[in-house]
Amino acid sequence: MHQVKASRWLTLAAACALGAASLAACSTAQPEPSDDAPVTIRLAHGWVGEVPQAAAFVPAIEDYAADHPEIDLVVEESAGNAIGEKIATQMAAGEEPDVFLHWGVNRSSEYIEAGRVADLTDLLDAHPDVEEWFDPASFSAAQLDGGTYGLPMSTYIHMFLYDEQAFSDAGVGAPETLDDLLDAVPALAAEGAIPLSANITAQRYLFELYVAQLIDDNEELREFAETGEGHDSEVAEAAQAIIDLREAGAFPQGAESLTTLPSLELYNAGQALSYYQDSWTLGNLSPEVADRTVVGLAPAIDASSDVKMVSGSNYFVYMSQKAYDDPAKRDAAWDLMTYLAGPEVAARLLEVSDAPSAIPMDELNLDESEISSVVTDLIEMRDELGPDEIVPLFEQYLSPEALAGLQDLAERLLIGQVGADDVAQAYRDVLADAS
Amino acid sequence: MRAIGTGVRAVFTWGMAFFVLALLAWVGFTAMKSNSEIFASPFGLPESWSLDNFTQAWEVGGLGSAFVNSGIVALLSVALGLGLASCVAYAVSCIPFRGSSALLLVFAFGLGVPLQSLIVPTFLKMTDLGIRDSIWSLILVYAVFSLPKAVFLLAAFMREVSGEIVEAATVDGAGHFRIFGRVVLPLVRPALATVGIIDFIGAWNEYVYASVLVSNPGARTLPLGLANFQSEYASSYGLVAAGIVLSIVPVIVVYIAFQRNVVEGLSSGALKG
Amino acid sequence: MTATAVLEPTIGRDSPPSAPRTPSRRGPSRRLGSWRRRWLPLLVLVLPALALYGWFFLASVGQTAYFSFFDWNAISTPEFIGIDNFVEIAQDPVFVRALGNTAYMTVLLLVVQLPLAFLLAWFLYRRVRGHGFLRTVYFIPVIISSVAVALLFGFLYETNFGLINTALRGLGLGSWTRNWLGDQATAMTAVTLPLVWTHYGLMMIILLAALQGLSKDVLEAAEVDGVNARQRLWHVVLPMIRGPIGVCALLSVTTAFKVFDFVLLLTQGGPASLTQVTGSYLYQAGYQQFKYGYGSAIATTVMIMVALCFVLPRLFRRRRGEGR
Repeated sequence: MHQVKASRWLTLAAACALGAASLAACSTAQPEPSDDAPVTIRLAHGWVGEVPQAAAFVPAIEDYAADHPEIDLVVEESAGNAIGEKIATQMAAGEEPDVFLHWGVNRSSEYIEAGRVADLTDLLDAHPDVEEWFDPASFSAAQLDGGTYGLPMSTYIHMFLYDEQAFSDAGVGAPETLDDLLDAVPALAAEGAIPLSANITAQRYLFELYVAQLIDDNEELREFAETGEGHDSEVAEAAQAIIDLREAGAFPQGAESLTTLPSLELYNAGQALSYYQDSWTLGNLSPEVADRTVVGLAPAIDASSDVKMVSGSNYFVYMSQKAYDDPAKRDAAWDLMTYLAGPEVAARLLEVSDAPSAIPMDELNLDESEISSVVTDLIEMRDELGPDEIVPLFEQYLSPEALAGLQDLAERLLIGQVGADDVAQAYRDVLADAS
Repeated sequence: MRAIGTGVRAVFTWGMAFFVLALLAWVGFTAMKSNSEIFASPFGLPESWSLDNFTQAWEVGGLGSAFVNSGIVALLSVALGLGLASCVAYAVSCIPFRGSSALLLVFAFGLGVPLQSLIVPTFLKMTDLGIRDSIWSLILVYAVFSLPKAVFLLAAFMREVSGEIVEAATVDGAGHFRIFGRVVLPLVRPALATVGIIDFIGAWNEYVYASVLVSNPGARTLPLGLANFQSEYASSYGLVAAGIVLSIVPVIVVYIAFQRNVVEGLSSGALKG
Repeated sequence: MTATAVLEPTIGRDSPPSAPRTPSRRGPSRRLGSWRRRWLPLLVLVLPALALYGWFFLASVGQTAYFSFFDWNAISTPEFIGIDNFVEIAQDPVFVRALGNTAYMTVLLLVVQLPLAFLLAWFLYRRVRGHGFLRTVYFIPVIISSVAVALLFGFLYETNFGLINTALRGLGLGSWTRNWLGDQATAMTAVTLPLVWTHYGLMMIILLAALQGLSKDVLEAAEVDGVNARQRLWHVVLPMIRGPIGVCALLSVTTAFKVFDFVLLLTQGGPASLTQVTGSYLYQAGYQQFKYGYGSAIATTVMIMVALCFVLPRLFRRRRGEGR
């Protein structure tokens, strides 16, 4: 009995050893690295799966990998917001990717301040052609303390889309002011439709637009964003406007748990007659509805205000400091970054995913037939506006903690926990907590 | 009287079953509809029994290799976890020694730990071991994290095993190893199967650690594939429903097949007395 | 035998009174008294598990507890701040609300889910018609991943075109429609329901296994004695499986304190922290708001609270003079 047992154990042990040895042999069976060994670059991004940009972006990356055998491209994908958390964990462990897509300073300042993201100023100086692709203002959300840390990957335009036919059926013309919209709500809602499909995020965007319109000055807006001082009455008025809209029944029920793309689906399905959101969702607008859709400026709270539209750049491609410090990696990473942020991919994003890029349309080599009329109308509308008429979302200027506080404050306003008059002070409290 | 009792019982049990089956059927139907159809008639049968959503979900989610990976990870982590846990559970409930109470407490303490708070330390450890971006890290993590619950449950069941049987075995001169393997383990087979199933499901469906530890698509598990349809970006409900169906059906099949073994073990009669 | 009694290992419930628990007395321990026969198996059985557990689990827990005393965003250098995090937790209205929500969740699990699971287990045990099929059906929700369940319930609750509201409107009960996930009155219950739906199958299976381990003799004896069905259930069966019921109760409580994925997927803890629970709050603080030290402190607080749930009943029992 014991002899049988002993030999059985021996056999098992020998098998394990053999297995381990062969595994080890396999892993070292690769050829010895030569001078031309491929540089490994880890790229992390969230434009995958059902996100509209994925249709253009994923093939673009594959094409790059195929064209560049000298770069061993390792791609890490996690749909949408999940990539943010993944990068956070990797940063915490010191295992951050070499190149990654991420939001602007209001979500990445912690990484930049910890010295984990490379300052691209020198690279941009050495490659002025790259810098010239973009409107200088589009770098602002990736700039901190004099350094520039990212290349703009996209532009956000907050758009107001409405179904022209349905509006005229209800006897309502295009709403140009807030009052127009409020007046139109009963008629639009009469058939059981939702007048304006705006989830809680979009309602916050509208609030920020209204604050910007009432303050009516870009510099002052930025100062307000950073201090919360001096514009209490404007803030109260903007907050009240959103509450009025809500109480009139303009927004969908359950907007608090309605996420972004599903809110577009309400519009696609004809259940909502207009839609306010960030332009990255355009790729999911259904073609049938697109034919009936008119792109307009958001109904203004103050018709005399210069400010007409919210637009800016808040999504960038970054390089990690680790990659920057390694000369071979730096060059490969820069090459990849300039490809991803560059005109070729931008054109694809526009054609396939209807995603406006930070590179002006006329500088792209576009196949006009591929582009939807809605995105063309939207970009043309924006391009016709002067610099005073466009503002970024003021939350772009905030730190991550303050941004989270603002989002929470907006939610509380929208579910009635905070009164319109108290918002300004609550905002100052948010800023105080965050510092 | 008895007829009413049976009637109530039937209504209750089949009513509960209805909640499960109806929802599943609804998911199945929804998977065959387009978005506009879903909004228009959420309850109706699909117009065309189209499998388009299923194929698209399969491709978008990369579900083919994800299934294989999930299977390997779940099976190996359950084998390891269950093996370790049953050893400890036996030691704690059937070997009298002074620290047994404390040892059980050490493992049971793990029940109160929110696993999501251990992400960063685990990430660091796996990176140090060099296995982070592979299924081995998941196997190890799932096996170890399953220990608190498994030890706790198995110890509870082993304790119920009649002391007389253990007594009789020891009188026969059996050492602990033999009592463990030949006497106690067969007696707690339903518990082992139960805990095994629980661990398997846990490993199969685990999402957070899989998404954090594993990056390369070759090692991706099923929940990651499904996560491509996750809320913020899930706008095609038919696709989502198809993804759900594809992720459930094989597990149900495996469970039904495995369940028969549990039934056999239960009716083996070893539990009498 | 209460829930905490399960923490006191014994050789067997029916062991004769003469079998003590300490060594060097009569009973099986004497026969197995020698080092080789007792301590060797012990080491072999326990050491591997304990080593892995200690290294991967306990060490990580220790690190989390350690970071509770720091102000750290997980990237730059941690700054030691003593118990400031804990002080902040005690004054944090969101945490208080999260705790309340978690308590509500726990109550729902114990009062709704557990009796439900037991009844189903009992009926299955009594071989109600179709019990084999039913057992599989009840377990199916357990198998579905939480992402899928959240998506499913999200669609159920959707205010405009979700199943529940559409059904209500179809039945002419339009006035009963609600914003299930956003209305303060219903939000927390709505968020807990997926947890109940996926969990009762698990509890049921544990209780069923426990019932099947019961001695048939005692049950038959009770029947012969003329005890009716309800009395038998209440006075004979339930006390016999008090241990496993305690186990299930404990598992339910710990689950409620730790759950976070349903909440995050359905409501992100909102709106305005309305449906925040301890598990989701610590996750958001740590991984979404860069407040890793604070998140760790919340985790540590949760662990302590759960440990207290373990320990307090036991101390209380001892003081009352029961047991040992």
